[in-house]
Amino acid sequence: MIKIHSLAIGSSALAALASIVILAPAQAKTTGVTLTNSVLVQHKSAAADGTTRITLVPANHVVPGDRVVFRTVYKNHLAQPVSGMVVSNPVPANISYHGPAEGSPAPEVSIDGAHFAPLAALTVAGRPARADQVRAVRWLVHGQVPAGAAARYSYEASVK
Amino acid sequence: MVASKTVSSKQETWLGALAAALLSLPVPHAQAATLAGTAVSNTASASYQMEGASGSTTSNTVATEVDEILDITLRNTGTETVRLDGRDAATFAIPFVLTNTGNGDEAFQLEAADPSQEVAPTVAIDVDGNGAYDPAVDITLSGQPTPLLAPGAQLNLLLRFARLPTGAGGATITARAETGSGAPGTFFAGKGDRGSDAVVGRTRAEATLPIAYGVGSGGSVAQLIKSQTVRAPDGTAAPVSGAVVTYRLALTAGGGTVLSDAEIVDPIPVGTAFVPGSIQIEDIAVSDVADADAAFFDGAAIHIALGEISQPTTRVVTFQVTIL
Repeated sequence: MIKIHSLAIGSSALAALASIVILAPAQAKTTGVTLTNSVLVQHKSAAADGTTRITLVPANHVVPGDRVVFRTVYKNHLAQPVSGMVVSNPVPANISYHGPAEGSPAPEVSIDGAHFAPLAALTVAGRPARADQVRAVRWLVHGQVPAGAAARYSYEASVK
Repeated sequence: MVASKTVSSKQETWLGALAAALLSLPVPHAQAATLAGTAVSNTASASYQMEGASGSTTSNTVATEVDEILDITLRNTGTETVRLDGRDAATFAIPFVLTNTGNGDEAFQLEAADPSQEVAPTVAIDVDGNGAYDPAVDITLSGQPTPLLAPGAQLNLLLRFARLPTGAGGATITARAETGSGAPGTFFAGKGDRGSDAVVGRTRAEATLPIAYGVGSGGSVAQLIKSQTVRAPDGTAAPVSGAVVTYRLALTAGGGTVLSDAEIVDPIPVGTAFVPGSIQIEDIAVSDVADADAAFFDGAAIHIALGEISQPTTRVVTFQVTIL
């Protein structure tokens, strides 16, 4: 048995859900729904044709100004589908959010960590919110996540 | 024991004077880079529903360390060409400013050279910030580095001559981060603040400042000095396609003559494209079109009307082009 608490992820509807107990095998590593987080940094190198090649490498070390990608991969290891999946990721202090990374759907974003919406729908003191004011992002997965299914979400940012 | 005590006493005096000097420095408002040694950690979470019940999970926590980036700028705070006429050799100095543009506490090593002088010029800390050398207050750096400068901190410095030059010439000041300098990206493991690594930034962690000086009123009444910096898309100074070149034009009236209707006309180089909106006069942006302000771009050259300039004012204009 593993006891899983619902997390306060900023949505009042989800936060209101009570803690529940889910029966699961003891090998917890590959059961349930897993989330794998990584931070990648753009590595620029000169290609043979004279262009600059940009690859993403794990960001063990960064410096101010570096472009980084925060990547979250989920996988449903359960034998049955799940629904209502919400993947949330706070934007760390010292990180300036830019937008969804290439190949990732755009997340809903939040300035205050509580109210989420597309960036264009948010305002700060009556003015349109800027990307660098975003403090948290989340992706709402529509429909069911079948057993064994996985997906990757990521956002691009820079080190302040 | 006595020798040791004497050294200690000198150090205290030295540090006390430096503390006073550094406290008087302005705090730049633009400095906001994340400090070296800061850990950036991130944990994602997910919630879901399964057969009417809710579940949630959290990810691994990824921790990334912010390294110390080594960067520096040197800035001439005086006129483009310093006049030496009638100066007092005992107190005369040419002021300049060193800024730690990195994100860690860093000391810098300074050197000054002047091929026309038998004795190399020296560098001193302008403790009272008055732009003149006072042996009772200011501190000559005799080969030792500056004290540690906080990120964004500026240090007022002075270039001094053993004997005042008797003709026109130029000196060169070079400064380097003490931790290391060289090609951007050069890595110094474990040498950063709070146990972080140190990495050389875009400035190569070194800066060179040419200082021109003149004697008498001979020569032209105005001098135009043009310099450039290149910023490639990959952050280096390589003049490749897509790199942005920032040109700096400094016009100085030099002969005691008031210039009227001064105008700079500078064609952009072949193989480049003017960056719209990039013209600045004394760090203030002006428009590209021919209108009420002093600048415009005619499709081939920038025109800057500077009006009347009385000696020894310097007017500085910058604009940018992109290498095609």
